[in-house]
Amino acid sequence: MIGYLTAILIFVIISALIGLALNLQWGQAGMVNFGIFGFFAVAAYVAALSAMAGVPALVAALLAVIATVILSALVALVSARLREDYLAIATLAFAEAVRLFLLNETWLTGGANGLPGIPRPLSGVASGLHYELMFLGISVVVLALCFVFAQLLTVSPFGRVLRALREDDLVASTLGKTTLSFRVRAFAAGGAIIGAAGSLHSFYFSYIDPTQFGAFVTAYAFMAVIAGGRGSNTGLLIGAVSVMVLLEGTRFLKDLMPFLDAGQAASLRLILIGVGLILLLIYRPQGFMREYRLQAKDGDVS
Amino acid sequence: MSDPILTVDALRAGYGSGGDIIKGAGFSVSEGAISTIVGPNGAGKSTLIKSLVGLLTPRSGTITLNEADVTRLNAPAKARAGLGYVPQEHNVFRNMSIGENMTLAYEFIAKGTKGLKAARERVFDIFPDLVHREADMAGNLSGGQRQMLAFGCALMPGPSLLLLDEPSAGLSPKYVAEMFQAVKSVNDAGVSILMIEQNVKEAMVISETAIVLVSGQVRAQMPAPEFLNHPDIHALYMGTADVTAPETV
Amino acid sequence: MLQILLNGVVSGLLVALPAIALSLTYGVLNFPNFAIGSMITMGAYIALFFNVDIGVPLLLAAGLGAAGLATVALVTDRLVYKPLRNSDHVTLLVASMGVYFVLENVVRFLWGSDIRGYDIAVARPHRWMGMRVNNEQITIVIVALLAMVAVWFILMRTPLGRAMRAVSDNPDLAGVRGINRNYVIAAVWAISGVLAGFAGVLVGMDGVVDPLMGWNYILPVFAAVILGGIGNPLGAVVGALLIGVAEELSTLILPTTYRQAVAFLIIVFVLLLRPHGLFGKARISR
Ligand SMILES: Nc1ncnc2c1ncn2[C@@H]1O[C@H](COP(=O)(O)OP(=O)(O)OP(=O)(O)O)[C@@H](O)[C@H]1O
Ligand SMILES: [Mg+2]
Repeated sequence: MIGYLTAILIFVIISALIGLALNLQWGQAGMVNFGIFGFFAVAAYVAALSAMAGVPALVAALLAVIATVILSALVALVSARLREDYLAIATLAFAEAVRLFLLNETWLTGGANGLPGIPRPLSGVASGLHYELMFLGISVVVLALCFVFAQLLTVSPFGRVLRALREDDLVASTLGKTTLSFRVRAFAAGGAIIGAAGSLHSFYFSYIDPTQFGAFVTAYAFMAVIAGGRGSNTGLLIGAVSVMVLLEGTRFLKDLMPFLDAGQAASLRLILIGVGLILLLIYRPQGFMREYRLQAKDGDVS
Repeated sequence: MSDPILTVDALRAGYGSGGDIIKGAGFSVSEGAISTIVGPNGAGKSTLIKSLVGLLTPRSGTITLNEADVTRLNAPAKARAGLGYVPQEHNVFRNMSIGENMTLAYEFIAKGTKGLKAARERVFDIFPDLVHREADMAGNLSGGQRQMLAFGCALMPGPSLLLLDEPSAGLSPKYVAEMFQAVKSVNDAGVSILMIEQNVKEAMVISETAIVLVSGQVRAQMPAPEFLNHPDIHALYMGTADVTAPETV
Repeated sequence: MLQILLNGVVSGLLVALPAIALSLTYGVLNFPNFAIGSMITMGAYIALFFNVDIGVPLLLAAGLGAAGLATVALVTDRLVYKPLRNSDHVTLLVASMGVYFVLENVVRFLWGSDIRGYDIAVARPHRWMGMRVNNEQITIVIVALLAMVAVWFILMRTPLGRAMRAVSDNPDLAGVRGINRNYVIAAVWAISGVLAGFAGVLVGMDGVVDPLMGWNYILPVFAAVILGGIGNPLGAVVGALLIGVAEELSTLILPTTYRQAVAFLIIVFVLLLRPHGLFGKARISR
């Protein structure tokens, strides 16, 4: 049971990190990133490949972060001026291109078979449940660091400018180049957090393949951000946890309905993700933590 | 003076979740007359007309057209109830030809194309500039021509009351005169008219009634000549003049 | 070379139908419908159900698939998009992502994830002007052309089509002209459901039927719409043909597995260099 809980918690933390990134990019800066799963995949593969090449875990993670930061900045440079819907298309197209690459460059990525045997960091120190708990500890630290990073950005003048740009297209267009630079930096900052998430993912599962990085990752992230109240980092944490609890809860569907086969149970869960996302948008577009969010935010933007 | 074709009472309206822009406006438009709304920029004139034609749902108050309560009807229903409307801007479909614009203005309000030809001829009589140009794209017309087309389209289904939002705005002097001439002749043909105008002097020449709207409220409604000769029009605009909004009945 | 052109036109026509569907809903509802991929898939599977499981001839099954999908599109609009009618377009496009998940996984739930195919006789390809042409390609060309002519006729020659163009050009003015927006929206969903349904069957005939078949078309379909200019269905057709041919040409220099990357490159270049599409004037930056 503790093992199961630890696994879930680590999973929640990874999702929360992705949500945190989206909350910066979309929640604060208003840049719709439908291609999160692509950046997530890049981070996971860079971390995995470097670790497998014998690079120490911390350095591998750092490389993953650097890779996603650079890629995010590049993608943002190309597309940050676009209207939201075009930005969504462009980022999704990017992620699909990543998926194509992962599937086809078998020599590097193992193609559809994925990468097995990614070395887990510090595996000599502890084993079994102890290792799981230690990994959970590491993940908590990573989440805490990223949260503080995101929160600092949010309350800093930088965050204020971002929100001002998001709210007012006119201001944004008159600022021109400055706007672009702010958006690129926000997107890259989100990319850094995704880099951390991808590394944790690779190290924890020690096996990755392209199917782990599908559009459902994007859907989770949007659910977490919307549930938490767009723009609020604290809300995001609560959103990520509640979404995950909901999704994990659906695992028990299979016990309730034993007549379903494994594939049907899996698709039922994904159906519920879709339905959950839609219901959120219709009934709680401001998120569950609405009042909380108002307190959590500095008063200049309302 | 004849019965009112339109009566507006204590109307409140605004955009989205913002505050009221129209703050309890009340006035009436006489059947067969030309009435003109004047007021400073940003007073809410366009907003008032949008809530009359159903593009904004009034938050409270009533709108009575031809003795029927039309307050809650949406735009298509209001159009079918006999309200014509020429918006201040974006008033033609730019990606359609003149002919298509005119057909479209008729077929969904009159529910069919019976009588389309006759309606078209009526409009061509008033705006000869549009004749023989049916295939031209509306987006390529000059400002004046576009205004004529928009006006013509609003006339197509034969509305009983026509609402014009600054028909002369942005037109060259030649077109301004032509436009007011057109308004007058449409009115002579029996269509009641409520228009917003900034060319106050010219507008009042053809108008019967002036309605002064200041910050979302009707400050005064009076016969046009009285308005023109008012000792302190400026104060009326600013809302400081001592006028106890005389309902001209 | 001619062969490549032919193959390109055929794959372009496959992209054209969903591209028209996407373009129509984009114009009238003002958001990109990311669920278009799973609509293709679902259309293919409904037809497969009638064709293989029940034994109806494919043509009739395709018709049933299209009708079924039109119904699905209308129900989706009623349940999802209607309550969100006044939301901003980001909300709508995220919602369409949710719809994508629901539809694709309903397919998996009902019909599993195996690769399947239609019940059609395999015939030897014909030879024509030195090219190999198979029956499926002929069917694709005929059906796609018929569908395109029908859409063109509806759009340009009927009151409904005028209403559709009016709503996508200027929704407020359309309302003032007596056009009921909800009626136009329903018509657009029905038409786009029918198009996506037929597209699904054609895609399934050309390749295989599996739950990811529609997702794999998302990039080319979006690329076609962007290339043609948003909300310009006839432009989308030209965009689709160009993409089909470009994809086919790319196989001369790239491994075939990278065909889809062509769509990605086209999206990037169009957004960078010609952001209004080849013919459009829409505003895409902010
Ligand atoms: N679509 C809109 N959304 C929100 N507010 C609006 C909108 N259109 C107008 N407003 C606001 O409503 C107020 C009144 O605007 P309106 O256009 O009705 O004024 P007006 O009297 O027609 O001015 P003008 O003489 O310049 O045409 C203004 O403060 C304006 O900012
Ligand atoms: Mg105005």
